[in-house]
Amino acid sequence: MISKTMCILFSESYTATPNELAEERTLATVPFGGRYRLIDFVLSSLVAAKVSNIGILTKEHYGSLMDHLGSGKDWDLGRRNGGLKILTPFAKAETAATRDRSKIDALLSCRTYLEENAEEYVILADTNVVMNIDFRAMVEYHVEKDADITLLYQNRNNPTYNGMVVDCDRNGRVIDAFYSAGQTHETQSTLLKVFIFKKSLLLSLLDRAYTFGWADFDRDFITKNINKLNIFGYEHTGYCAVINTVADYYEASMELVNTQVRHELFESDIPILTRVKNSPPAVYGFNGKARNSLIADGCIIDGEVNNCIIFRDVEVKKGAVLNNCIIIQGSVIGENAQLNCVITDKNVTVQEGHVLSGYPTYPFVISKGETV
Amino acid sequence: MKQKKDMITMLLAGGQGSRLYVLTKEVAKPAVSFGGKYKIIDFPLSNCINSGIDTVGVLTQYRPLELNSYIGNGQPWDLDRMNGGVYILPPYATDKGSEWYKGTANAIYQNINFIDRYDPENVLILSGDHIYKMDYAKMLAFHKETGAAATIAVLDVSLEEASRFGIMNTQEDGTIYEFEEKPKHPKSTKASMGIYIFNWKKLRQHLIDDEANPASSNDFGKNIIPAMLDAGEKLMAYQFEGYWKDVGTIDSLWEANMDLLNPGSNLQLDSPDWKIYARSAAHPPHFVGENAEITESIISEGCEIDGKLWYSVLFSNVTVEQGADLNSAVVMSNTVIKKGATVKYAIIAEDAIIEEGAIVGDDPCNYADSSEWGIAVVGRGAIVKKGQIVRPKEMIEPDANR
Repeated sequence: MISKTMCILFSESYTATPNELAEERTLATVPFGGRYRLIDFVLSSLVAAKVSNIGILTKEHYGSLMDHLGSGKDWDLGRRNGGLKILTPFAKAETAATRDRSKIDALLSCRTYLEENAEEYVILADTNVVMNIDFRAMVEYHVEKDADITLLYQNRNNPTYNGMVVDCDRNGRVIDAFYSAGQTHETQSTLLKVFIFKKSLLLSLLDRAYTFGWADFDRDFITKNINKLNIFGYEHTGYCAVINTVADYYEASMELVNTQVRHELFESDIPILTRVKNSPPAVYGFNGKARNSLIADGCIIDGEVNNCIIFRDVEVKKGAVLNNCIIIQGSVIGENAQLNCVITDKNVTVQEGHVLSGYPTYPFVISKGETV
Repeated sequence: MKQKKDMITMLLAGGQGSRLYVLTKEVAKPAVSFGGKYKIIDFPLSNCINSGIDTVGVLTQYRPLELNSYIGNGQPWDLDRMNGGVYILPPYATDKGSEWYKGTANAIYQNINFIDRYDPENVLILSGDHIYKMDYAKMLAFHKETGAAATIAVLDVSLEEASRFGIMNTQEDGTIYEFEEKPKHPKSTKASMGIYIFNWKKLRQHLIDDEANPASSNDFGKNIIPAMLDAGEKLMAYQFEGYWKDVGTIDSLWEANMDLLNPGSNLQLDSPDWKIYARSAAHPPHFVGENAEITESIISEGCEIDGKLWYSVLFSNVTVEQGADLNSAVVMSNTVIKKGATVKYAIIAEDAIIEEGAIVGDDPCNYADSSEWGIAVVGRGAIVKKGQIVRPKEMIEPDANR
């Protein structure tokens, strides 16, 4: 069945406003976990399930996405047939000005791509979801239930969540789907924004969406059709982090120093693939100290690093002390600088002796290329 | 029709490297791991692409599997090309029978057809057993400028060391008048680095003549160079300055790894203008646990460290458990050093397991008689059981269980 399945990924979330790390890049390419980009997780799960026809819908500033994915060969997706296709925004005179297009508009723009491929099923997935998922099992479930739509959910107690939650009956059929207003301290079945559609159904729903001017994917495609269509829920029981805000990002990043979470993500049957670069291994100097941290290749560590995520080619100079920080690629932390709960984007320089601090629920973010 | 090339490279990678003992039982010497994520062959391949050479023939013979799969289509070195790129050239059969490569010169002789396809002006001959960074384009410019038939890269060594090398005796301008293989009383300190640029037309003829001589051992150093000197060809020595190390022995391989940790050694892998490329997989960054103590070490992706590391080089996916103690150790991919194990002055090959409390190698300070001390080596996939001791100089066979 999996060979009859194609996939459309969304490089943006369409509902949440972009966080500071996604200001100049797509949400899909926010750096995560020391050497990855958010999109690597869902992409690796798709590749492991042998879904090899994948289109990625873009909205704006997708240069970083094109750089990261290249021809797709690092995911084994540089194929003669299928492989990876970046679906660029389709600007016609009448739509050019509508920068805030909805997910449905985006799907309408790639209608031809959907039609010209022969696969019977299509997976629609957001890329800001950090997890390993067995798509093969999910597609089998979809076929076995003879579902029109299968959606992925997880039972979570997440009071800040204000996306869609669902109720399923004993057979897994979705009987209610509504937006949660947040601030509830109950366990809810929250959507992870991964769906499987019969492709013919998706196309006919798109026709209707065009006709009636539908703009909200979850409400118009799911909630409105609960009684008409066979919509099933598929529970994800493993680790999962959905990243919208900087706080989400910081919390999920820091979970990676937990060995159980890290092993579940990186040492499962699904290898997490990413763009392979050519940095030499990390080097520790005479004064280097590290504890409870993830440190990528190309780093030079001569300062002290505690509970941190350090991306590639970062230099931590002598006497610098970093606690609970995320230091993204190419940044330099000067001698005797002290950083706590700081996120530096790419190529940031913190000069010597500087003391900077954020708070775990409100980390201090330094934008790309800045010198402090 | 192939496009004519100015210079192509022939890389001799068929040698066993028998002085690396257990490390080359299952792989050819150029495929031996080095420096945390590299293999020895990454150095000549990266030097080629950095020097603007886009066609490399790799001559394999001994245990080629690892080398073949590592080089693959050449993509990590940017050698996957429409015209040229990297080719693996094993010995082959013809209607007259089949032959192994009898010597370095015979290996090139058997691939005359390959070289002729590119109709190159010059051919660069390299071996896959040295760690160094070198701009072959500069050497080629020197070769063209002097109009030599052959140019041989040489390195100044100390007079004591000179009797271990092939020595070029030259005139002041670098013209070679004599070649001596491992001379007892060296007249010069210019040691051949095993890097040659030949005018292809001239080399081609000498290879054919050499092949016709049944007494020849078909070797560049022993036969081709002396024959060219006898024929009155102009041979030049090209002086190289910088880091160069023959990693043909356990000691020199260990030393070269340690040199990466010594800023004075002049061997840097991270210089942006001369990168060394390697085929690498996507492992997560290395993780340092609560109890880790790491000083002056190199650690690759995928490692999990909770023990003590001092002056060590760790390849990808190595696990060092709590209480394990590593000093001046080289530990290759996927090896596990369990709780309380000690590894000092040792090379542990891939996929090995050093169980709890085992001791591998020792500090030379503890040996008054230096002849009793040496680097301890554990072969691929070997298991050193709980509490076992592997003495200095001792070698554990691949897949051994002791």
